[in-house]
Amino acid sequence: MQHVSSQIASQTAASATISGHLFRASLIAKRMALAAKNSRAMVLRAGAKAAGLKVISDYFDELAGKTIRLSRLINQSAITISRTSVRQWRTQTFLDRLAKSQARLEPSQSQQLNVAAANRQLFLSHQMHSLQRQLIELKDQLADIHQYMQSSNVVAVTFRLEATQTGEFRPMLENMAETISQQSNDIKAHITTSQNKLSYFQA
Amino acid sequence: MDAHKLFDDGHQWYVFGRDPEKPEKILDTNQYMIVDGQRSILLDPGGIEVFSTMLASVLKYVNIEHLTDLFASHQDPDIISSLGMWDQVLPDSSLHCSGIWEGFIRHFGMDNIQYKPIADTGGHLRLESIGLDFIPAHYMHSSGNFNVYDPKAKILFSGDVGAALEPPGTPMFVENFERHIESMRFFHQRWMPSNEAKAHWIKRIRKLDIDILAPQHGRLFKGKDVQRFLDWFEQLDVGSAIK
Ligand SMILES: [Fe+2]
Ligand SMILES: [Fe+2]
Repeated sequence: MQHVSSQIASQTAASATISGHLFRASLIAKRMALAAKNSRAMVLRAGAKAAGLKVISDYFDELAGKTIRLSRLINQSAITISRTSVRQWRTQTFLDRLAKSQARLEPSQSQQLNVAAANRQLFLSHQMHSLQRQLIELKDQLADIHQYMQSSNVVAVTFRLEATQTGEFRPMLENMAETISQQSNDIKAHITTSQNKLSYFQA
Repeated sequence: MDAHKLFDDGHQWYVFGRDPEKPEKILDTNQYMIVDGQRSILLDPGGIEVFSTMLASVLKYVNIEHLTDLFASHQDPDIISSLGMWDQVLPDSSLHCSGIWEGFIRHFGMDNIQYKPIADTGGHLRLESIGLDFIPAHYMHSSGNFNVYDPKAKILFSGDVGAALEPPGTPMFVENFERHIESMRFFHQRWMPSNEAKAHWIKRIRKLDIDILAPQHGRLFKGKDVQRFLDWFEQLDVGSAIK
């Protein structure tokens, strides 16, 4: 019994941690969007020499926007999971305490508590189902954002290669590619930590 | 947890306390139950840590569907942090407590139980054959605070007033008042904030006919010890932390 409660406690802590990581990821994504906007401006100024870069910087801009939206969504999902988890935790605590009372009573007295126990047990299994559903959604969302960051890294490499053709704009554009690549890695680190935290939910 | 029957004449009073299973660092509390036919009320049902024991103890004397009311003298955790648990076993019951604490007490979790706010001027609750008075005891020690008086049993549940801090396993009743004073002094000087509120309370309580004064911690006062307590408390200077 104690074991179940502490398992739920770790789940609650894990989902709150994920929510925190995603919040930080969304802040990085905001900076990334800014970098993408700057790179677009730079590409426009470089003109014909950087024609190949225009598509890439548009793509960055779009990716950054998607990342911000998704990380906010995941942050919300993680909060929902944390809330479900707390509800589950409290219900389990109640059931543990009820069982302790029942153990002390004569069967005829203890029977009176069966209805409350059954009700809460049912509620708990509903909560567990919702939690499973919410977890699957979270897992998919984390995988998506991870995928975005992977592409963002690949695109940063292409960006850097293309930048070699841009004459005096080269150092600035290379620098920008480096920034975006660094930011993608930072976000990816938050996502990976979050994905690892999901292991707390495997019962 | 020990259970003592305090009164049994048409309706019954029980006190539960001296729980040997409670975690060591938790302050010992007295919980009370009044049974009046098919209606019963728990007075200061206690903290979450004593919930299991309390539930098992009360069901020895009453059927769960006859537990209809809860009373909280004030908002402290040792009084009512078990609320979220009672809420699940007694979904149809009512909680009587000062109106000023509703938004606070709901933090303990209350989805089902009905909150019945008591006005600052006090209130009355009719059970089956008897009536209980909710006597204002504001600032004694909480800012929204009530005692429960049963005129038929002549018992006053006084909440934290009359409380004593004593080692576990002490007897239920005061046996030697003079010796008991030292266990009460610090508690009253430190937890009771106002001499004015104290004088007000004593004046009100002196008008009641009381056989047993029943606090939420420590021993109960019976017979002449009730007056002894009021006299001692009357001359005590309280609010010691700012003196
Ligand atoms: Fe208190
Ligand atoms: Fe207390």
